[in-house]
Amino acid sequence: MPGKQPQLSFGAKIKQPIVAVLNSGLFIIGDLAGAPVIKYAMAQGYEVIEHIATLPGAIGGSDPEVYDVVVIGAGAAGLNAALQAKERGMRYLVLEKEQIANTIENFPEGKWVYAEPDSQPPKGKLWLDGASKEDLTWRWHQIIQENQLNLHTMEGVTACEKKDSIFNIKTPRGDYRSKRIVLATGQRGNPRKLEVRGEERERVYHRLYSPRKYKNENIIVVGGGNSAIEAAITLSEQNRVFLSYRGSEFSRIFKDNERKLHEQIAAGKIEPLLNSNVVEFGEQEATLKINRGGSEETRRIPYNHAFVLIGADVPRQFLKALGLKMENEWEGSLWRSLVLTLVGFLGLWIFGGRFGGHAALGGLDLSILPSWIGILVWAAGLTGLVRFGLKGDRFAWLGLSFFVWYTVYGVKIGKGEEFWPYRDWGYKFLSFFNRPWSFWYTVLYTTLMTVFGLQALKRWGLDRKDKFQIWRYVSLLSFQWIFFFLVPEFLFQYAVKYQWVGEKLASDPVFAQQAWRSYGLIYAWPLFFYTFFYNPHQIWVVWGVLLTFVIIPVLVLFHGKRYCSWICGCGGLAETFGDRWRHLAPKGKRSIKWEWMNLVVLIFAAVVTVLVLAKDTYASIADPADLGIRLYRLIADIWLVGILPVTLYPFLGGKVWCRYWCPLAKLMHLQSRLFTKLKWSKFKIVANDKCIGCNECSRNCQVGIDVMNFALKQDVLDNQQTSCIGCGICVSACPMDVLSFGPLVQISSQPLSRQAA
Amino acid sequence: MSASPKALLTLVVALGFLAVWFWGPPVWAQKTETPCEYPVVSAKIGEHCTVCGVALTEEDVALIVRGRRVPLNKEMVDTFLNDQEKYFSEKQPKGALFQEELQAPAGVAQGGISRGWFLFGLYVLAGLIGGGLSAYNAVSKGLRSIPYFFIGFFINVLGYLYVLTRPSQAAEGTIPAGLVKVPTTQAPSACPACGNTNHPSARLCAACGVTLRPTRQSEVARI
Repeated sequence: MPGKQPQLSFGAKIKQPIVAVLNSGLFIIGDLAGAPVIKYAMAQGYEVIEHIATLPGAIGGSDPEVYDVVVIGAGAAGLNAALQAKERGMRYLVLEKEQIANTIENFPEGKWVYAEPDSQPPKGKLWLDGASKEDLTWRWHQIIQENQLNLHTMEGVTACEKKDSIFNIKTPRGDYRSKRIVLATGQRGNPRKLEVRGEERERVYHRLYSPRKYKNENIIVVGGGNSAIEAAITLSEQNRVFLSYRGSEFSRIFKDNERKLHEQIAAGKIEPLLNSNVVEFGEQEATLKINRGGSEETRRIPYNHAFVLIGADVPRQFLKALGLKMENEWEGSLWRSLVLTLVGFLGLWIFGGRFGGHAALGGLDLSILPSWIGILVWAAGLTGLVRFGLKGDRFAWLGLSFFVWYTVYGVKIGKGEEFWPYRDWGYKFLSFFNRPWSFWYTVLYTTLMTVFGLQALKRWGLDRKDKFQIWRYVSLLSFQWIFFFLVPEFLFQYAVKYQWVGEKLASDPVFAQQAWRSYGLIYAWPLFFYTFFYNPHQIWVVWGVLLTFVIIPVLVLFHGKRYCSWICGCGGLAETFGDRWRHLAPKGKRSIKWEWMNLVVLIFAAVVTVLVLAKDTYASIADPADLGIRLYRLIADIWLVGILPVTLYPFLGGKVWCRYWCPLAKLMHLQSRLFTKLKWSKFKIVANDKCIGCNECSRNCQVGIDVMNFALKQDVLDNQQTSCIGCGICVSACPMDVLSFGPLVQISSQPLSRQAA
Repeated sequence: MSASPKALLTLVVALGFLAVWFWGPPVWAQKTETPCEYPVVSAKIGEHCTVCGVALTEEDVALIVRGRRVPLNKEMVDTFLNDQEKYFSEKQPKGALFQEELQAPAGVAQGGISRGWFLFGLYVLAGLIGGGLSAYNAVSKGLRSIPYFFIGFFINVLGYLYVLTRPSQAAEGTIPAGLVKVPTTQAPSACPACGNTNHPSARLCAACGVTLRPTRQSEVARI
């Protein structure tokens, strides 16, 4: 749930190119706004000026000292914005704290700069085509001169504030005033530092320009990404290289780099030092601490030069000073939010006393209080949460989210068993317009899925012209409407009433009075936990067995776990309502380790099912079976599938139930892993050799798979190593068309001409 | 003045919906009934009268009405038949989430099956499928996907037919996004002398300077 301040998402929104800070006149474009490709960044520069030109009072004005727009950053996005501003006749200024195209200038000499995607023509006046970095920047300098751009290099912005709708921008050389600001600083211009002693020495560098000028020297390269690996490989041709990396493996590097690295290691030209950290760069020696499986070893390495190539730092302080928030930062007070949430519930507790609830507290009967006091207390709690949320307190949004979904699911249980403070009155109170709350719950669920599903369909399908995503979202929404709304709420009843299922079946109360079993048409055991008990008609038993043990495995064989992303209503809500937060899904090995939890739920469901089926035969297990059902219903059916995951959508990216707790997802994963191991599975994602490491695929993966790791190495991604659900968002999000479903295409290192021959 | 075919078809669809709304489900879906001809069977011990609620014995009866069992005190049969819609409505199946294990608390009305909700659901479903088909076809033809999705969504089959009649346009400036992509970049060239990897358009090896045979034309040279 966003506050007023926008959250910056790094490596993000290709099709939502410009991030405009609400009502502030500040626009963020380029790499900082999630355009990892030069062509997209240029397009954003063009589009932001075209957009600004449409705003009232965009061009000109009475005060000649006020610029129409100040562009901060002279990279691809900023330069194209400036060119377009000039074209539009605006008063503009470009401020660049270092040099023109600083990020590209910092590439190693001769590095090829790609102009992908080929199919999209560049926008604006800045030139772009595949070229060496020197050719590209030379041409850009030519264009800047020809257009006589108003550009100040080596002039960084130190402060910026807005007063009377005019931005006052301070730099070491002067102050500027502007109606609008375009922020195009990028995020890769400032090399990250180790912050260790001796890092300031002249022989320690954070960039590598000309690797071939070093000969017969001892060189330390620090880092585990492609830049560090490429530097180490090139330097090792004429030097002895020590490659220090804090990780236990080089997991995010190109396949070709991996091959060359292994060759150089085998040749003794590179000594890899995994699990190592530099603690000091001395006069002649660097000191490293190396973790050797629990014991730590200190090693001193003599060196002539050291290259620290560990990525770049985002200028966080500068961005924060502009009033921007970083993505996924937790700010605020957990305790305050907890108290405000409880105050909200307390108000409803008092309020409920007037409707049959039991508001007794320590011998005091709160129901003597008038209901308006309850409403006031409730409003105070919720208003506090909203207010602090708008000020940037993320815990306040968490409290509000919990409040809403605890109410929705905690009341649905009904029958006087509602959760506190709704017991004995919540269900009745929320049963609007002569219809039970459970009906309104279905309406709410289906409406949420439809409204947000159409948004997601637009985002991934219509905007990107992606037929796969169009069908996937239509499928998800259609399954919801047919099998979780029309059939259980209406068609089943019509089928009984008008005897569409035959007089015999319609007259059989075991069938006719269990409309809720129609959920089992699509939900297989154990997701639909009650398939095989509570006195099912034999038709449901046969269908349940067929669905769980025949249809689902066949589906898994051909489509992996696509049931989760094409059919399931639980996954459907995450894919639609949760889509806007998909980038917040926990990533990395640690988050994946927690997926063991759904195996526990699967075992729990299996044990309880067996107990329930056997209790008629063995009376001694009746009590444990009943206890098991009650626990499963409370823990899995209410907390794990309802309250917790939907509360956490805005914080953990949607697929919380599906990823961590759904027993059917685990069952399908086990099946898919087996089929993959046996080489029967038809499901896989493959990659070609064009990955630029922008991280869009990993970032948008709702089940936290590091897709980029597979793409960089051109490894096959399947269900043996991952719990991929085949949603295809990584394929759609990739700006370079690297990923695809289908058969593995053999990538050959031979030129195509030789392949053809 | 002549109405456009699209407007006429829209009118026909709208009238169709109204007809179903007023006259109920199609004839094939309905069962005719004669009040006095319901099958009568004996009541079961443990059942209660639908009208007065008293516990029944085997001497009482149960009528099978529209496939549903209606247990009655034998004195109450006429009362039921005289106002059967009122009493029978209590026997109608409820929504799925309103399941027997989760009976609504006393005082919560049971609602019932609303034809309006059902038709609305059908309309949205048809819209989704119509919109999906129209957008899919529009993308295939290089047309704008969003307007055609909503045309298909609101007038579904008609919208789809409308898209089918549109001529194709060459797609320009779009990001290709299919799911059967193959590698299109050429592999880098290895130097035959030193093994260094060079860009496929390179004419000289960046490491040793040996002349290479480029496998593709440099994009710079084409300008």
